[in-house]
Amino acid sequence: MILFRRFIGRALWRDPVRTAVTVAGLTLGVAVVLAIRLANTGSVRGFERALELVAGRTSLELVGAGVGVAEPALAELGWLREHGRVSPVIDRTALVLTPDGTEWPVRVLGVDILRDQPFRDYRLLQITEDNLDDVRPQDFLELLVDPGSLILTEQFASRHGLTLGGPARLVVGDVVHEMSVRGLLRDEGPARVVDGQLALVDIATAQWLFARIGWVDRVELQLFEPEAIDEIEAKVSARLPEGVQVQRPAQRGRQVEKMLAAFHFNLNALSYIALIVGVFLVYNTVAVSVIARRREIGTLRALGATRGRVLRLFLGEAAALALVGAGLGAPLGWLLAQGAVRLTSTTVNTLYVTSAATVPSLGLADLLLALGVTVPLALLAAAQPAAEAAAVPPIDAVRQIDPSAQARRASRRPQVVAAVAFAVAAWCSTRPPVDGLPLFGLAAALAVVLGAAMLVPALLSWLQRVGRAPLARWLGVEGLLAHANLSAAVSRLAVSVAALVVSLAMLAAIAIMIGSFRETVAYWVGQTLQADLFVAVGDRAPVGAPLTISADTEAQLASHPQVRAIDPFRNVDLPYGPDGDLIILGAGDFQVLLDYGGLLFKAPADARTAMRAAVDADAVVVSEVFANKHGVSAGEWISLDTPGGRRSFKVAAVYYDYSSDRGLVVMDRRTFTRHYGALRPTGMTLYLDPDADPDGVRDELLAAAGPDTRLFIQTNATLRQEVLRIFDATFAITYALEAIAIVVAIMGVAATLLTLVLERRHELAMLRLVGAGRRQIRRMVIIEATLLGALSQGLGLVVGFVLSLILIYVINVQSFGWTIQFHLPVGFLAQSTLLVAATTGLAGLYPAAVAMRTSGGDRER
Amino acid sequence: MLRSGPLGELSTRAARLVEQHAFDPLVSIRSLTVRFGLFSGTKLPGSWPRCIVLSMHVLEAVDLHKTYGDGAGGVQALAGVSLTLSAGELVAVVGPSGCGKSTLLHLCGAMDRPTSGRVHVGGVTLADLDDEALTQLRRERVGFVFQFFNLLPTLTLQENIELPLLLAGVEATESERRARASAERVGIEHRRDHHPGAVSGGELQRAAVARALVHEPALVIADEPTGNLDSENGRLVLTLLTELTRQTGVAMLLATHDQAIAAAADRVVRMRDGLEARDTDVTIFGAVAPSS
Amino acid sequence: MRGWRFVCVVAALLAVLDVMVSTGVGAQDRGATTSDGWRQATSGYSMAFPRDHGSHPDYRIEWWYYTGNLESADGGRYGYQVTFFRVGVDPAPENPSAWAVRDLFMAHLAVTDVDGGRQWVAERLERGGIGWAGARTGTLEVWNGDWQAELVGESHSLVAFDREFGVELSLDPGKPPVLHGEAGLSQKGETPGNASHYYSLTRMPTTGRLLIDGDEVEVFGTSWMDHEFGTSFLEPGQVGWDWFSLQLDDGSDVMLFQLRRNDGRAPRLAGTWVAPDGTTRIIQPGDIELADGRRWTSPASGAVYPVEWRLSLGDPSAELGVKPMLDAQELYTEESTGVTYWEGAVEVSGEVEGRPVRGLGYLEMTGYVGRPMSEFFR
Repeated sequence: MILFRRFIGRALWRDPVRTAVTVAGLTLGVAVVLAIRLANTGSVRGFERALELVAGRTSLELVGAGVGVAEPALAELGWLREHGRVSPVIDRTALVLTPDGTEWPVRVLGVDILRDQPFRDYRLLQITEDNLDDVRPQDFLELLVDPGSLILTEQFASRHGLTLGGPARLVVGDVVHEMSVRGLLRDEGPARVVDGQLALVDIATAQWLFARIGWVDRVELQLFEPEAIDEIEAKVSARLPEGVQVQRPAQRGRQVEKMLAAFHFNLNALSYIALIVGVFLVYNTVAVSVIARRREIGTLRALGATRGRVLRLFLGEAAALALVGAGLGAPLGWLLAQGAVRLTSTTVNTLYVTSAATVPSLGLADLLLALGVTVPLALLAAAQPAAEAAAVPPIDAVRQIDPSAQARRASRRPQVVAAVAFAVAAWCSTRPPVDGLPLFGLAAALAVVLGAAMLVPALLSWLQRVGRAPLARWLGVEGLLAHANLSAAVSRLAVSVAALVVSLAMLAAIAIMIGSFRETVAYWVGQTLQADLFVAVGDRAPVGAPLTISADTEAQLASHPQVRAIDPFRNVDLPYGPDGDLIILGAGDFQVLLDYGGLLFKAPADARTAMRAAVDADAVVVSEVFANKHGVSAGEWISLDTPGGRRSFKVAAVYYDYSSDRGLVVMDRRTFTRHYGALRPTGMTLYLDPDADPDGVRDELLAAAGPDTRLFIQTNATLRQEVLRIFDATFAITYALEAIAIVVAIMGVAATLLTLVLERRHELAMLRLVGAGRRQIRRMVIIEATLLGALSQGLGLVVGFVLSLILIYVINVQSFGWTIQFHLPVGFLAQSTLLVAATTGLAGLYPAAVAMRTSGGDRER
Repeated sequence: MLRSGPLGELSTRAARLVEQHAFDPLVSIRSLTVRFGLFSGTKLPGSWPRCIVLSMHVLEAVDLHKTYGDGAGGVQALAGVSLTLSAGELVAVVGPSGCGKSTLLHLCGAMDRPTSGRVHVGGVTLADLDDEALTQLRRERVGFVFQFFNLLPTLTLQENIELPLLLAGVEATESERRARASAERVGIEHRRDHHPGAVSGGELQRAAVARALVHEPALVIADEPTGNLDSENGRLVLTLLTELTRQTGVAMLLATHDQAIAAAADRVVRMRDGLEARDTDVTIFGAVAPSS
Repeated sequence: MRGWRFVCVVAALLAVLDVMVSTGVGAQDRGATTSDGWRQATSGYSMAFPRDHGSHPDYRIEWWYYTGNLESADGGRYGYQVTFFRVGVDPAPENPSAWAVRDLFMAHLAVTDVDGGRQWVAERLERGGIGWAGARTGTLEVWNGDWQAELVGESHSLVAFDREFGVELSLDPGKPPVLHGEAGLSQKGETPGNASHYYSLTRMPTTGRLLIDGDEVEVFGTSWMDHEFGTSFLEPGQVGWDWFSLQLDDGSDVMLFQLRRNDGRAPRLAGTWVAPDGTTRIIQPGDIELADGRRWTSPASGAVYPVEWRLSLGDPSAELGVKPMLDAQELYTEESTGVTYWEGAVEVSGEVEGRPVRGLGYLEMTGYVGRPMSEFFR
């Protein structure tokens, strides 16, 4: 330990920039991994926490097929009282317009308080103050029985200036309801949900507000004998009528988790890139220090250090770096997670569920994970250089060592490994997903990356041979010197370049994938969005909290003389298949879609005819994603749960859709109403007379709706922009992760250069002696850096191209099920190439400055 | 190696001591006393009168050959050199550059293995040892002084001197104490806390000498110890080496191309082209003026 | 009369009772309907059966009240009480939802095991909602969850089970319905309109089974049923009441109550005598004397109840001692409805016009603990 501190510790300390770069790289890597993990847990935990708080003491719940439980079915469920207390619930989201002029989403819980109180801990502020006894159900009912009453949480009310007895404006869909705050809940139980964003109303009020007369969202059951839950669940399940299922409240959390699994998995995988690059840095640092300290190692060996001891010293170096990196990375990860939550929750809220994601606090488990991942990886990375160190013979204490000699001894082994890796990649690309996750696809990508990294030394040697003349010609003597310097260091540069190549390749691959995806979506949007105007409520409807358009508004829209046709649509979440995956069941007007719309069909050939036959029939069209995920093709039949039980629907056609990776099943609205009852639409597309001016009509419609309208009408053009905006927001995190990986890799290059410069002190001094100016020295080092950057980017582009094919045709298809048309974002790649070359050039500035200083006045010994 | 408990350790060490020096029991006891502090308060005396019976060789090299590289392209560095060295003896190997004297020293110091021939250190045949045992032998019986000092730049002089003790697992306060004593003996105690970058070449080499002797080896290999020093410092280091050889009874094998240094040796081995040119037996050289 | 306890609680907590009292007071000016749409109990209503066994949703308050003393084959003695209440909240809710609260339905179940010295109590409170509680018009069918009373042929079928106790009984009508007060209009307050339509079936031969502590017992005995409906009854100043329903072994039945006041004025007294042949006569307040006797202190609530009474009547002349079958028949409901009272099986002995009689009955005493009942009327 003493020796470690003196030999390794001080060396790290003596070379603070390189050590700092390595630790920083590792720290960033660890931080990114942890941040994504925390953010992912945060978004699911946010949902699950809300779920738990709202579920209270509910043991089981009965849910209907996507749209809830109809009252006639509910009325038949009186026998449930044998097993426990029963409480029907309406659980929705609405907005509260607060006196401070803001609007906030609140969870609106509609319950029959007479039945519901044992389920949840409601504590009323006012009453509890003068009477410590629990509030009786009747007291609550008194507060809630008036249809204009609601109860808010103390937190929320005090934050937004709402008062007991005062008014509150509740926005449901496009309607603003003037309510009165009849009670305030203390910060306990369900009141803690999402920062107190909860409103409690009577179940009758909720039905009325949300146009759910005749339906409840679910029925909760609190068992007399909770310990017999398995048995009772089975009994209940057997006795339930068709169309109603029993499940545990956590089931909804699991469904959400499952729904997000692919998304989270990909983010996790991406986040590990930065860590792997960081680990590459560790390899680099250890390898460089082994090469640079060969004589010292020899001395140690001569003085009696065993091979094992030397091995342990250098493994210790890696472990120390990893420990520090993980230690610093954990808190940084937590900070980054805050940002990541913002970035990912946009996606999660846009595409999956509404939940207020909060970053869970940093736990011991996270620290252990950071250590448990980083330390072994770092040790693995350091294994090869450490073994090399252990193999240094004592004679090397006195032998003249020529570093480039090693490069000339380069074996063929890496090429063999590369060939094997590529073969493995090819094989893996043909494997199906595991559990819906593209594990083999990722293995293929990893194998390609590994293979490419293995080829880097050979490629560098080759480039070194062919590069001399052009460099000398274009860049003069500095170019020649740079070439000479780089040539001398090929073996140790290979590591840094490989790290940079890997990260740049991933960037290129992801850029190509996203570019292709974006292009595909843009095309799809162009084809699919045919309507002139799109009506929605609010800016964007969060999933799971539909903002509906009232019947009055619909009538008003339809009455405009230039509106030719209206296609109202409505989505509900529906569990599908043996695993209960949540799919999206949509209802649209097939007739209008056929006459005016432009769905992009994949199959069958005569899809329009098939769709015509599906009007008001038990037939559906499904998205490509649904077809891929569930192995369904046009002409087959699928079973969907309906409130009336399981029904079969013919798959009339498969169409392209990029709005959700969950799989969409769409039926004609007449069919939908027949099976699921009438639900208010969440959006409408309007088709106008050919000569109408969409902007003009839009303005007229909005004017007719009045100044307070909640309607949001977009023209075709603005909606297309909006779609692409959402698209870009979705991939923001991807770019952020990549950028971090590249920063880490560029750090690696700078660190390597710095080492080279420090080692070449004598050489640089000699150059100065023979007449090289300080500027020439700087130019030389910067040329070296830029060359490395350009080289890496060049290799990265090639590897990235291959990777992008795997991403698009294997990983993407397996985890999301989309068809993406390949498209090369040439502009972006060109820009990034310039940027990388420039950045590495800049990264060369510091070593260049060191070189100038060193070569200037350094006292030679 | 018998290593079962302190007594086992002690007896092993004692046996080895006898094996190394093979001298009269008195010396053995003195040595034991010093090494293991059997009698408390015993300190290593500044000058240690010696009564050495040269009855056994500390180093015995027999017909050493060394070829670097293989096949026809190989370079023969040694072509059959034999050498013996006894405790308290200073032997200088001299010859022009490339004559193979460094190679000879490396083979004798167990830093490298001969292509053929045998090396015995303290009666142990090096060829019988694996890398681990060889390392242990270097750690316990051999000290090195290099031409380029080979002090670790991250360690202070004191820490560099301690290094062999640390590697041998000597406890920290003990190794610190012995390294300090060793530094005092070579006269660099005032530089002990400096790093190698901050002191002069002469001081560096004196520190290296202190390091070579701190663990009381039987054999010290010094490869051109003055080759990188100015003449003044070279002379100082040489004097130091000769004195220490006399005081500690170590066997010192020293390579140099400096005839003056050779004159200070008990014996001189002259080499040319990997072969011994002439072995002058100068056992009776005795007192050599340090100033020569 | 004896359903008031629940009515008070619920109505008070719904914060409508102040309206009810005031509208009750002012109802004389507006005729038969209160300002919030409920019909007043006034004279001129004529009862008909089985129609009037059914619900009267035009009136705010209505209850069906069954009590009885039962016996098992091996001589075990039991008392039971099953009551259904309907309290109107809003006669025409604006919200079309089925869950909109027009009425609240409550039910109360109590079983006394006299020999075991224990009483079990359960209660339910429901809105009509999707039919989980309700009452039919036109005939007897009132339910709250799976507790229900309905007419099967001529008999009243009564089913109410909690998890460990309950009743399943069949009650023959026995004597014809007894219309209390003037042709069934029972005046409660001094103000006209503060009254109810009130009839009883005073002696109903009963058979069936009880569930006691998880064990079933075959039983037979005699029950008493009250059905009362109206809109506003009470007046300020009334703290509580004591109510008796007694079935004597000479075939006569007696209903008596006193409304105790807190303003120093004498309690309001009323009663009905039912002869063995079913003929009835009103017992004039001046002919009633109630004297409370031995007291029992409830360990749960601390309330002190006069569990023994001495009743002296003038016409017909009677001296009756009333003793509880079991002292501990308090209904302690602080954790649910929140009002605590004593209601339980009693035995009676004494003489009527010089002839010794014995009998069984039920006694209800309210207003002995907590806030005076009048405060619920605030």
